Amino acid sequence: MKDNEIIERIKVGDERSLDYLYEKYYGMMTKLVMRNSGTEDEAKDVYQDALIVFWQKVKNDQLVLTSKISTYIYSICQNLWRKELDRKKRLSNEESDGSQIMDFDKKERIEIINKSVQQLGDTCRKVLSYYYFDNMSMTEIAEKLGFANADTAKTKKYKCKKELDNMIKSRYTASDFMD
Amino acid sequence: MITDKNEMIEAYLTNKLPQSEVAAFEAELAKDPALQSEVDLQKDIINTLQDSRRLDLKNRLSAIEVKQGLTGTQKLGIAAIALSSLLLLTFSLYEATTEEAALETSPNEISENAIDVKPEPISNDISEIKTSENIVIETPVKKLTSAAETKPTQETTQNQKANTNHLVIPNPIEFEAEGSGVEHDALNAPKDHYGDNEKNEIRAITPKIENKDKKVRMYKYDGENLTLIGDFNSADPYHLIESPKNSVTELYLKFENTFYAIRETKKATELEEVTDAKTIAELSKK
Repeated sequence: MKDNEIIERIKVGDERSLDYLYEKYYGMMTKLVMRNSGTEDEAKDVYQDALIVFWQKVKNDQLVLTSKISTYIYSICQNLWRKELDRKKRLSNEESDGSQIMDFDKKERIEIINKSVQQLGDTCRKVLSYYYFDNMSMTEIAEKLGFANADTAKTKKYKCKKELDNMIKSRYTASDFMD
Repeated sequence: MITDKNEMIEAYLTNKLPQSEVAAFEAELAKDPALQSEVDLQKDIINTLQDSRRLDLKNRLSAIEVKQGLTGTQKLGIAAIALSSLLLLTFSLYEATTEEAALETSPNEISENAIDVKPEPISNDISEIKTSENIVIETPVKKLTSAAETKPTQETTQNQKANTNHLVIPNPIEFEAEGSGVEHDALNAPKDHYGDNEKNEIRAITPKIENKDKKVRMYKYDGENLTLIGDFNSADPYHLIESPKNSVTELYLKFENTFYAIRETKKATELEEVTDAKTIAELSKK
């Protein structure tokens, strides 16, 4: 597959192009991390994250590809791994407990949201992810999920979001009362 | 113009709010804590939805088993190839030196000997491989120490540099120290065959071989490093012969019973067969 073909496929949300990229550059990208004191698992992790960043950039039309895809992904990997190394360094240098306590409320909230997201039906989760993560238009979502048209997708999205909000809010107040 | 509050928040958080309305919305946010906390909640919800999608994609990728380039068994494979080519080199050099003085030795015996030359523990450890390299290099040097008095020769340094101008007799003690992990029997074994060789030398050059699959046979030589290009994997291994002539040392390659002159050339050059009967006779005299 040529680079521009891959981009086109990602744009229409074809996840197989992601699989394709993953296999194609696996050795090259994981080696980058492993050569810089990373384990194979860390290398995999960074590479997968980098590909997802790439995917998201393409989907959000934030990408102006001036080089080869591989070069671009390589530089994302580099950045991500540098960040991870920094994070590790900070962790070993100072016992970071203050910020964690401060974030406790937020953590609890995220947990509640997460549970609610998992409880959503499969279709709802897909509609919302495609909308909020993949930046898909209603037409694209309708196409991908086999809805009649964009309006159906829009209604579905609206209902799903409402359902999720309600789930979260009811849980949230419940946990407030428990304190 | 978006009027619904929820739509407004969503548009704001997904960067879809027209630039002209962003400032007004933010001003409102600053005044209205309830609106601010709703925005914070929505932000977390959107982030979590994004994370969940991210996780789905990640799981999708994790499920792919990549037959990757260089791990585990394949690394071993490469090490094995490297090792076997070293052995091949050892073999060809060893055989070259042995055959030179002891033509009566049968090929079977030679190959057995060659196997003995290799350091016993075969491992991926670089130091081990280095050790076996040392044997390859040192063997001809040993010979030089015994046969060097009457003719120009070369010094062989650890990094495989051959210098044709100087006569350096390596200190045997250094060899002891250097080859500490090596069987000394192996180092000494070929020594018996040396000494009676007046004319021709086996160079302490370890040629690099490139493009083994190609049918052409070419070479590059910069005075120190020789690269052979093409298929030199023959039943009859190549030999390098150094022939001192009029104070200039000429280098020849013997391959499949034909002699080729090796000249300094930066470009890959086709092997040039020696046609001069006298030279052939001289080179064959071994």
